[in-house]
Amino acid sequence: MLDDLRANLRRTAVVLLACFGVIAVALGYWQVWRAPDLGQDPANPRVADERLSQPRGRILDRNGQVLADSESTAQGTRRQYAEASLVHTLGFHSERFGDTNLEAAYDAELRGERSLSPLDRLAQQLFHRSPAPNDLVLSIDKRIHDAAVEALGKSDGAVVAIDPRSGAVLALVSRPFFDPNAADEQLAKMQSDPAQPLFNRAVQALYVPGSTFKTVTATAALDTNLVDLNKPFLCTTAIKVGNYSVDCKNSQHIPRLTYKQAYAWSSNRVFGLTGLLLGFPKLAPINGWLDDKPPGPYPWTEAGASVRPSGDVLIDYARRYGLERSIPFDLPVASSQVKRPSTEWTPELLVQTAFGQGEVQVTPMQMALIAATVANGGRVPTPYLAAELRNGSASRQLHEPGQFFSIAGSGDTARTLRDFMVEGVDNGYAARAAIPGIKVAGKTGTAEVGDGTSHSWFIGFAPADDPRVAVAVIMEHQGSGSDFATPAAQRVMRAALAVQ
Amino acid sequence: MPSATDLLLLCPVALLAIGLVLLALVRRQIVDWQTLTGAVLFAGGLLAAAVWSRWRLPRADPLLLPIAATLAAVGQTMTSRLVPGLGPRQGIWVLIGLGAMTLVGLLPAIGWLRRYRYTWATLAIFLQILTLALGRDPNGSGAALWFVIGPVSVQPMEIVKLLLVVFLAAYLEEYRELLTMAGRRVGRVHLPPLPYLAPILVMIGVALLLFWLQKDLGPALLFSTVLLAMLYVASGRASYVVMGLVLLVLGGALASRVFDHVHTRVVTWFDPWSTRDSLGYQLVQALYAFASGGVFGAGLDMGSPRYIPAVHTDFVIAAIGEELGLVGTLAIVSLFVLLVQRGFVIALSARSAFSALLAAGLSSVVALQALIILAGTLELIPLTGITLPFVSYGGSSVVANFLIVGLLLRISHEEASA
Repeated sequence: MLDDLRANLRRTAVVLLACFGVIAVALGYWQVWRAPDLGQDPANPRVADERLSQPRGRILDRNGQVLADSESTAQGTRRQYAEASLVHTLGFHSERFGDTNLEAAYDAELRGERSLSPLDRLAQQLFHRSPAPNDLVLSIDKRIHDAAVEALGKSDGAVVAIDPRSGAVLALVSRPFFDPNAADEQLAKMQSDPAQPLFNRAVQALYVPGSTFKTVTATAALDTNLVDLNKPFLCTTAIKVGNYSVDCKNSQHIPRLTYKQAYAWSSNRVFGLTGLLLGFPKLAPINGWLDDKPPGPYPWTEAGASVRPSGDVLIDYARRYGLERSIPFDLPVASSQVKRPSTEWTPELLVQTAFGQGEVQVTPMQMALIAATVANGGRVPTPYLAAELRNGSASRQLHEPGQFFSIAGSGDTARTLRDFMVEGVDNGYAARAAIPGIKVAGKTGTAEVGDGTSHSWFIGFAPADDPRVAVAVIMEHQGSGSDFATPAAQRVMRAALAVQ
Repeated sequence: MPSATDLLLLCPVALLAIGLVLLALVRRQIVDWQTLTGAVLFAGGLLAAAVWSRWRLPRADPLLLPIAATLAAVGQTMTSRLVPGLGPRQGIWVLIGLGAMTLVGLLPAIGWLRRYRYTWATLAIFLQILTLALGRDPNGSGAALWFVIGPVSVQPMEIVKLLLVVFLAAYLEEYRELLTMAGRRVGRVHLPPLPYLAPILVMIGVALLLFWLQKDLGPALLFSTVLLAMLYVASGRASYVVMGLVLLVLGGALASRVFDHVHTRVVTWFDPWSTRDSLGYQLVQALYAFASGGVFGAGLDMGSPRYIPAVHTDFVIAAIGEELGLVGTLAIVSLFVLLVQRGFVIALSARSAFSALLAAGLSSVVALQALIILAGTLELIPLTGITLPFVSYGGSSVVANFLIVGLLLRISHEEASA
């Protein structure tokens, strides 16, 4: 009888001990498998505790200048920013509102949660070692940043400066800004401020580009060999396209001009017509069609209505520069657009688009990339802000310099465009971008915004033969590109080239 | 003559001493003699208990006491860490528990317990009714389960637990053959012979009913499962266990519809995350603690288990998980595995059915109680409040569990000497 009992005992013991096995597995599930996500879950009170007391790495500019630092206070650590104007570049770290921009994107690295070496990282996870905060080194050059802030003066707008060879963003300024050191107290007020100081214009604002967009139209024309560069044409009269009239007012002091001069003096008629003629590659060279007296009725007029003009070529080249798509960057960049998706192409819209009005909307970052692309031989550099993480002697590169995400046109096209832009500075509207002793390339833009005022634009780069900086400057409601954005850009380029 | 296994008793002593020293270092950066008072008293009590049992029960299982004492040492360390003021109290309870354990050696014989089986049953029911009438809720746990006598509060359920197991062992031994043989069959299923089961069912039913009335689900679940385990050991009929479990689930489902507090437990078991700020708070906080501990833990006193309500009693394992890591929790689980394994070895070596059933029942109580709270804390089953034997803070629990150790020691000694 006891034998039966013993058999039952054994089975009972086995079942009970197996249950402990299940417990062990469950412990492993929660303590190992779920440890990474629950351990870092923002709702886990330990995460907030840790963040309050944790030191946070510094943010440095490319020369090691401190842009953001943390100081210990009785309540925990407090983030200190060198300057309010950096807020759109760095973002801010706030216990109340969380993190934004780079502070958010590199939060774990700044806190040192992810160590730089994989071996340390493993040890960190295994032994719960307190993290060693890493410094984040940016591609920003504080001196160029300061020059850009000064250059904008009191005007709202943005400056983006890029090293065209590497893609390193040297300055990214958006005005107005607000003081991130007071974010906890002021953020609520800032949110309702009509000047929108929280809005990062450099990467998020969509502006009408005005004549700076002629660079894209010119790229398309040059890359498709549509124009004979040596044969001048006459531009004196206004031409009606549908109900819209394009004139030669900008270049009226040179009635007979080459395509290069038309670019330097920003002829709306020449580039408006170019936009329309992009749809008719068989007409190349189009020089005759740009003239006061075209060889026949324009193909898009009543007589030639069998062929409608198409914006496909222009959109294609715009896309190559990064418009109508997402640009890879450390900060979210709004997608620039050539026209609203719902709008149908008409000759009027196409002609306006080709010289940067119509429905074209671009970010300052996009325009800086266009200048940088011309400087970079037609390759669109991948922009970056976060260069590397540093911890003592250890460092980890975050972006490989010299990457490009698209090719806008051939090297020849880029070289020709560079000459065009140099002409713009030497003998054109971008004259005030000139720096003594240095060949500068540039294009101005005066974007009509519909309320009677104009945004002042400049894009360009220097030195033209060995570009080290490409810039885009926009100053809202200031007036002509030549008089405001161009001298401002000159200051930025001068600072970048360290020329006084 | 001390044997090699006696040296194992150094384990819990060293563990507690190291734990208390570490706590003093982290908290006050000072280690003085006062720090070690708890460890010295514990060592003294343990030595006295070991010497006594060596004298009275020389053939008793030598591993039981070291295992139980190690669990108690972890418990005392964690209590000191979680609620420093309760550390010394828990120390005193452990000493009382060791004393109670030795008292079992004074019983005339283990069979004596069998003779008074109905007395134990009556006493158990009486205690339950008394709790219902006079129970207080000194800690604000939501259920009035304690007798408050001066500064001390006693949880009668812990004693009821022992009385029921003794009664069941005696009763099942008496009717074992009938339970195995008799009963009608419906198809391939053996129906239990109801007339013989009736007394147990009535008794357990009354106990469960009283627990329901007290809103105390943990003990209700514990008794039901212990009954099934012992019924299986006695009868060898898996069908009883299956039927019992089905009834348990049905009963639980019914209770979930009738009682709000049961419903809450079931809902938070299915998904604690959606109510992490209200109903699911305790469980979610425990899971965060486990996850934050990882493999090696944050280190003693380096975690934040303070976010878990009732962490020093029902949720002590989550605090261990956070601060001592998976290594710590698996060590605790291993100690329980060893303890339960020793208990069943004793049951297997028993030469009387009563001793075997009693040893199995006592081991099952410890095993199931640990399993119910561990599984509840780990979201494997609905959470029911119950202590983790030896480890959780709670005097009655510690004393009752050391009494179990005493009984097991006694059984192992008698069976080895017979």
